[in-house]
Amino acid sequence: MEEELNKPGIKTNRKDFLKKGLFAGSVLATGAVGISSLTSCSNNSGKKIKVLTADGKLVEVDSNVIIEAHPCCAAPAKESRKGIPGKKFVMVIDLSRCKHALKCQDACQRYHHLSGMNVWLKVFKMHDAETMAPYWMPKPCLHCDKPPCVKVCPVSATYKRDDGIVLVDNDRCIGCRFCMAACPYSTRSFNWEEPQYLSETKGAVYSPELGFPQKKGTVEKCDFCPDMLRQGKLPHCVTACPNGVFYMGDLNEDSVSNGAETVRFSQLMKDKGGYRLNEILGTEPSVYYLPPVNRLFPFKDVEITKENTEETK
Amino acid sequence: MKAMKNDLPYHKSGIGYRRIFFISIVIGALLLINNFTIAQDAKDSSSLSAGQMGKLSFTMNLSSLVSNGARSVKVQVSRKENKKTVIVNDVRSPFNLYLNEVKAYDASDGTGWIGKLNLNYEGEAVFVIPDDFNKLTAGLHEYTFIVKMDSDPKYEDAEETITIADAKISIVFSGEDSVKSATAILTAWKDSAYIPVPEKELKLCIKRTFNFLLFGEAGALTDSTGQVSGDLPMDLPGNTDGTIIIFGRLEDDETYGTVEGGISVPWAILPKKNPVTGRTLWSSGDNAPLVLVISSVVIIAIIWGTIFYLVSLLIRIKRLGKSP
Amino acid sequence: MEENKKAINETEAVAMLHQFNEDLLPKKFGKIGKAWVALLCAVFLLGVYCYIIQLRRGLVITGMRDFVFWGIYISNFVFFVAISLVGSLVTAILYLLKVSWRAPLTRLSEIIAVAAIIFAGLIIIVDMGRPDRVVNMVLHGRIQSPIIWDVMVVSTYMVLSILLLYFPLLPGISFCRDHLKGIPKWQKRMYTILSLGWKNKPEQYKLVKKAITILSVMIIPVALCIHTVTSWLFASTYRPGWDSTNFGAYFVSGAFLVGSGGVVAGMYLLRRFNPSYEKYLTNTHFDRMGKLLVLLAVVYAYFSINEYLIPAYKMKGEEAHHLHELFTGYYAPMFWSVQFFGMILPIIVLLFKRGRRPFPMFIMAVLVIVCAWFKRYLIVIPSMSFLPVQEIPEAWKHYSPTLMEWAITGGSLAGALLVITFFIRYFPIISVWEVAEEKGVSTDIIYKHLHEGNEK
Repeated sequence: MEEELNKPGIKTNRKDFLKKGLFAGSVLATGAVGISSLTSCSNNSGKKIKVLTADGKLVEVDSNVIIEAHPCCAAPAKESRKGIPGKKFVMVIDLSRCKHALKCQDACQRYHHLSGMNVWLKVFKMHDAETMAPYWMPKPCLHCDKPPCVKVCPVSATYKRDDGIVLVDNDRCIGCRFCMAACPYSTRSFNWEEPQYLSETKGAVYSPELGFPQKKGTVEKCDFCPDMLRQGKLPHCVTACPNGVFYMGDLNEDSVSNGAETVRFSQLMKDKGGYRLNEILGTEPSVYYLPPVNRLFPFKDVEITKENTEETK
Repeated sequence: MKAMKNDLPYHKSGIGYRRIFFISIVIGALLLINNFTIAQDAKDSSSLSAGQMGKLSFTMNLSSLVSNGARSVKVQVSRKENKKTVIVNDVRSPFNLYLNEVKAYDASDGTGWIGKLNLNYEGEAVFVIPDDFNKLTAGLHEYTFIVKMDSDPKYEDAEETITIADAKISIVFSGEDSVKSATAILTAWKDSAYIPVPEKELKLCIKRTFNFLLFGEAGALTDSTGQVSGDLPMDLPGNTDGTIIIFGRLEDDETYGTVEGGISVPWAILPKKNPVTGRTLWSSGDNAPLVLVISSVVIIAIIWGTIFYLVSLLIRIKRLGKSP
Repeated sequence: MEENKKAINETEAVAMLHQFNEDLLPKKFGKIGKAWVALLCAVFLLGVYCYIIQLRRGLVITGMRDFVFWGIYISNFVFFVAISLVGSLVTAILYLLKVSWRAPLTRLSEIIAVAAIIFAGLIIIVDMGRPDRVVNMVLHGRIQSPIIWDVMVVSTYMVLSILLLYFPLLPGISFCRDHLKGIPKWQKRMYTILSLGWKNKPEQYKLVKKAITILSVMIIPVALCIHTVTSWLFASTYRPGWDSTNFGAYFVSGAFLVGSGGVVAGMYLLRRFNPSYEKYLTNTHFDRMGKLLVLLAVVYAYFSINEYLIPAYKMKGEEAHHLHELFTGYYAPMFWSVQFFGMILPIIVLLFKRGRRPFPMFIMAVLVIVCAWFKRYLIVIPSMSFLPVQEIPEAWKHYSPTLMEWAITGGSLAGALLVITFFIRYFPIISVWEVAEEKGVSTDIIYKHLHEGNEK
């Protein structure tokens, strides 16, 4: 019985790793450890290698003893076009829980090494009419199933994957910005100049799944953190949110999780009246919103402190 | 040796980096041998040597997970800054993991130094203990993990210990075809056998992509036989072969850490499949709608065919010019 | 008419041909010509210099940002595409309609078309964030993208325009080759190569005429395509002001108007700086072009009303923001001046016979061109300026082009003018044989005597 979970059949083969990583990693991700790294351990039993020990001596030990770090989990450009097999990622954003703490945005900026003006995840104050009550609305890329941005890309630099994610390959993007024009949700940003945090990401191997290092003259946007998803981990905005606003999950297995709790997606939609933005456009977003009813926090209009920012609506 | 970088997981390793790494380990080791207690309590500034002056201190949080016998130890590093807890991810020195005591690796029983890792960008280092190693240490029923970090240019040396008693969870099933009930049993090693542990909050979980879905009664405690039961939802999509993984989970227990044990069962409905996208306007270039491909090819062929004909006229004009 | 033409006897006709040839041979630049070229070169080189800076530093040197991400490069591109449509209008449409006064205007409109379409292609590369990857369009092109359609149709139109310019030019080039005296060697060589050994043979003329007919038929749909597809770059999005089914027709009608304006301005300037052209570009030509301009302006007005009035009737959410900004808001002064000076005033002035004299025509044509440029600005930019405006710096909300951006755009306009200027300098801008044919000189006489030159 115990073998069921654990029969690793571990190989160093990268493809196997990716599959296994998802399988095992997702079992117990929120526990103390992501098991995915298990799979990265080599299994050539009996092979002796030399290591430097803590007391400064070189000793020969069984290679199994050595514990490896996570390898990078983002797939290379070509593989990143396929998507994670069998998955269909969806996000649910519970508007009743958002209080504009902006932790999601901070985490997103930090983990993607974004410079100040390229913000992938924005939190808007929604107040459509005087007679309505204002609320906060986080808005990542909606990863539409019929993405207008992908339709217009002349070079397939932005593409829709089978697992629902829309990515940008900044090694191919020609910088025409047509996708920015086509996106009805204005989620895309452009690297107008040499990206600021190049030193931070120096030496990093670019993958469309990582989204960095950014390149001058190319478009970028929220990517649902596919490198995290490959490890069975939740995207950074989901884990960073102190109020559990964001849920991420696989539509095919009808479950979404905000880190603290995991719920059935269909039940959540039914109980809370989930909806998508601008359904009338026919873009079929992968991001669902739960209306701001029974709010966790009273709406407090914070002055958006970010330098030079101001709101008009 | 195998590279053990966990600094920024997506970064290529640098040679210079590794050298610093070695040197710091050597220095750290010397320090450790001379005065074992220095790093024991990094927060106690009175015991700091001169080399530790002006460095920052951090909190190291250790947690243990046993999942169907597979062990791992996670280190999370954070510190207080202006009364706020912030992640520390810029510790340059590696974190060393020892089992039972701080010493060199003992191949006979698997104790001593068993690995080292650098922090990742999220301020974590996860020691995943290989399967073979678990077999080697199967005779142990209490594990003391010691994590040490020393000789970092920015941070004070630190050491943290966690002791985990051996426990495991197994799952049994009962019920008809339409209603299935799962029971998780928590047992722990005592004296010479695994005996049931009562009064622990045991969660019944179903594995999902990111996390687990709970079923059964929320907050249920184990009874005197160490058991918790719950009815399985029968309409839940599972893996493509119709199976789902069900497990019991004891979370962050003082004695046992986090313990999980489970099994794969064939009682899930099949997951929805992604529809075949086919030729759409948002597919890749070679998957364009046929109407579009054919019509554009025809139009281009006609127009450019005519253009080539016109160019041939130019050639004919030139030939006419040459003939008398 | 036919009777009249036949009435011209051979000696008269030959004399006429000789006179045409003398009048219409390309002339060296005068003082003004040289100053003009120097000015254009300076502006063009400044543009090139600024573009090199842009290549180094990125598009950050422009006023564009995430919010308004297309600026005057794109509106200038639309302008170029628009003005290039005139080639097909005057050369092809009027040719097929057998309009009798079109012959002296064809080459002028065709060179305007060629120059404009070349610089349309260049300015769109200037707008790209990664011009070094332009080859990706071939390597990874997606037929689903309107940009690919635009690339294909613009390049096709460029080739067709060049051919339509080149075929009727062959006799002219060979005449220059044989009769221009005291020209540098390279110029002679250029004529020799480009004339393709033209011998003025009737068979050669036949082939040229065949090619012109084929080209005239084919270039009309392609010309409509270039501007329609260009309008689809906007109309295929969801943005207010762009999301319109009227856009193709609206763009095409505007393009015909600005192109004709370009031809009128060119006609006037040719006459102004070379009085011998007055015989060929007569007041009648201005009068006729004036009437054509009125017609085109009225058609354009019709589509403009469609474009603005119906959305203004509905005042749908975002569309309402857009229209308020145009009608009464930030862009109102520009919007109304463009409508008035670029459309209404020309219609009024050109309705009167006195308004169709060369000078007022020239003024109107310049107004039409300038307003057309700003009209494209108003089509491109405001549609991006008022979607949910939050979390962006104040400076990003309103786009204003930087000096560098102006310099690069100005450089492209200067470049197009340079192409036209140099063409006029080295090639006959009025087609002698076509004009002669139009004047009733029989083809036999043309084939026989056109090449004689006027050496006495």
